[in-house]
Amino acid sequence: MSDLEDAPSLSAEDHPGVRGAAAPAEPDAREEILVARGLTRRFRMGSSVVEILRGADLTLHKGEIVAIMGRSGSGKSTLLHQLGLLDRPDDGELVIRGEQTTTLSRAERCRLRNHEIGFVFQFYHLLPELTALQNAVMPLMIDHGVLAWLARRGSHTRRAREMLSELGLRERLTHKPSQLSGGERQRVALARALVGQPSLLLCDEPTGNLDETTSERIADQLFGLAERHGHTLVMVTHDADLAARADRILTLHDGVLTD
Amino acid sequence: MFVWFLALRYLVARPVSYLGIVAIGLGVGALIVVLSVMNGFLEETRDLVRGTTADIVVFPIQDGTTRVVPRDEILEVVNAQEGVAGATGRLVRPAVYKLHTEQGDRGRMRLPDINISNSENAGYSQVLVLGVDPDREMAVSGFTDYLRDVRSPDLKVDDVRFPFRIHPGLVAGHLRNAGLPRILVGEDLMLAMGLHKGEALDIVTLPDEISLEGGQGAKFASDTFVIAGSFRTGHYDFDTGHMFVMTEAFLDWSGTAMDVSEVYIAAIEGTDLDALRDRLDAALDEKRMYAEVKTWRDRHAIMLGAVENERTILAFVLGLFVLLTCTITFMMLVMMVQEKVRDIGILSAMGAPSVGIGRIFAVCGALISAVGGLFGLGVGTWVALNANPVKDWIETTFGIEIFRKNVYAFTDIPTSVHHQLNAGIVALTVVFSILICLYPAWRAARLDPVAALRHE
Ligand SMILES: Nc1ncnc2c1ncn2[C@@H]1O[C@H](COP(=O)(O)OP(=O)(O)OP(=O)(O)O)[C@@H](O)[C@H]1O
Ligand SMILES: [Mg+2]
Repeated sequence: MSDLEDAPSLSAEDHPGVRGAAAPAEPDAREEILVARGLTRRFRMGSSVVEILRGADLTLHKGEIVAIMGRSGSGKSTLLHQLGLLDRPDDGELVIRGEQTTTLSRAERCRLRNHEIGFVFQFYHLLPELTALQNAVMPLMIDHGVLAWLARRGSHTRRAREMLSELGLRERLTHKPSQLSGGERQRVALARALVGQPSLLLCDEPTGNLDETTSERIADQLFGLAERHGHTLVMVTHDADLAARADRILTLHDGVLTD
Repeated sequence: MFVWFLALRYLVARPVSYLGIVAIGLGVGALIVVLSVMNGFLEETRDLVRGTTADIVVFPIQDGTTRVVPRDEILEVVNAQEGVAGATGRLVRPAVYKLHTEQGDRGRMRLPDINISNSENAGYSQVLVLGVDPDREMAVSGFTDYLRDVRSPDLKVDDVRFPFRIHPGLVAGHLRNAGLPRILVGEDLMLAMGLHKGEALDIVTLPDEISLEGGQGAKFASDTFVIAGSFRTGHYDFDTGHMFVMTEAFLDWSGTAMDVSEVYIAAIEGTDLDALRDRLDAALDEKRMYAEVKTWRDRHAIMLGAVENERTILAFVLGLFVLLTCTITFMMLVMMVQEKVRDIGILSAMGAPSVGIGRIFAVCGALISAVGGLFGLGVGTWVALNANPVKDWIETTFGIEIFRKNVYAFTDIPTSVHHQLNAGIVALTVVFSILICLYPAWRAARLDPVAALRHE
């Protein structure tokens, strides 16, 4: 397993400086990546209306790692979808890298999501027809028209390949998701989320579907990469040990985020 | 880029899409083959009809109430018209025939159809006897070609320039010195009846109302003719239903008082036939020679119209079939969108614009119909161009007869491939497919990404 060699080099211990600088003592010194104020989301269930988010506030700085915990059904995934511009809030505002997103058009939100946000899901969510490399390169492909893509295909593919190699998947580039283990799939998903160098990484229970050892290794890689590349990381998890490694732990309860 | 990349991936990865391609290909191919054959039929029928009829035919009205107009007078009027290249008179009379037998030759009743009191055989033993003037006929109709086109060497006339001559050595012994008139019989009929050159036929008809013996009651006009050879127009019905004799022999045999039944006119190339017809009609009327004047199209309007109508119906039915195959693509895409809901959510999460996601499916539909259409165009054109080898292969391989020449009056399947028309069919198919695939594409584009991601 090549990832056994790769994994330690990416682990948090090798890069203590980044997180050290992220000490909450002087958070305002760094760029605000995301500011959410009063996010509200209601769902209509038959005749009744359920308010899942009731004015959630959140400010994320560059390089910050935040864990979000909460009961099942408390609305953590709903919140991530809001932060990732996959869904519009019924109320409240969301600013990403200085851009007020609530007034953006659908296409502009897509572009912003493509450039600034990477998603990692519990169930990997890879495209089953594509190989690992094709999956990982997809965000870049989405960002380019046919001609632009053909012109830069080489460098983009190289970037995706390097990303996968960094995660220990050098031998798995041409494998389809069905030929990969759960951990390998999640690492492909991680590579895909990071290939476009987004400023914000949103992970919804990234290790929720993996055994303990694999979880730990994935978490190591996740934290390591986030720190090395300066990604801001929001991670929803039920795993208290994992959450403990974050800079901050927030709890979603009754539709509001609390420390 | 992801649009094309994913569209191709999805297509290649799903065997159903090949089915759609084949379905559209078959629909388009069938439409092309049928249209080619029907157009071939139409054009060939037109050619045949044209080959056995003149550009314009004048039918003098000779019902006994008006003056019997001599042939030469009509020809004079006709030839004076501008646009007429040549004209010849023909005499026409329906008749029945049987093989002529002498004493000593009894028992040689080969002709199975000699029994005309039998609906099966009556048809074959009835023919139209045409009295022609060979020299003029050759100038106006394809007469020379009919004589040349005979395929069996021993059924050909001795000399195409003098078709009614036959070497005395070929005439059956007892008839040799009888000085009998000569007759030309269609090759298909000679082959079907087992007739030979030099044999004789008894041709029997009823005299017409204005015959020389008029008023003496019904009397058969019968004469014995020696077969001088055969002709082939390629039009099966004509070849089995007509016989040629010389004008003089016709007059002797039928005893008619009129010396022309129809005047065959060849027009100069490029003449407006309808206008010439009207001019001829007026000119004859003026000379009080009452006649019906018809162009070849007038004469065969019903037959050509029937073929044309058949073509339209088949094109319509197969057009519907092609539309049906397009809806197969539609259903495939609807299913594909349903199957790919999760993928759509994933792509949204990666920032793919909804328009692009919709376009993936539209491109899939367009590719299926375009590849299918081109496949159909290729196969259809190939089959249409090789209709007869394909037909032969099917007939020998499966032992079924799919083309009966005596039904269709042709020996080969006629085809006429109109490439522009076929390209138009393919283009229409693609456009229609894209149009109806816009709906599933729109559905895909409109999917809520969150709901798509939650989709199990
Ligand atoms: N489209 C929707 N329509 C109605 N209710 C919805 C919709 N989406 C989410 N919900 C409800 O919102 C609540 C929160 O869902 P969400 O998936 O955000 O919870 P979660 O905190 O992620 O839970 P888990 O930890 O189990 O993943 C749930 O009760 C769910 O039923
Ligand atoms: Mg959840």
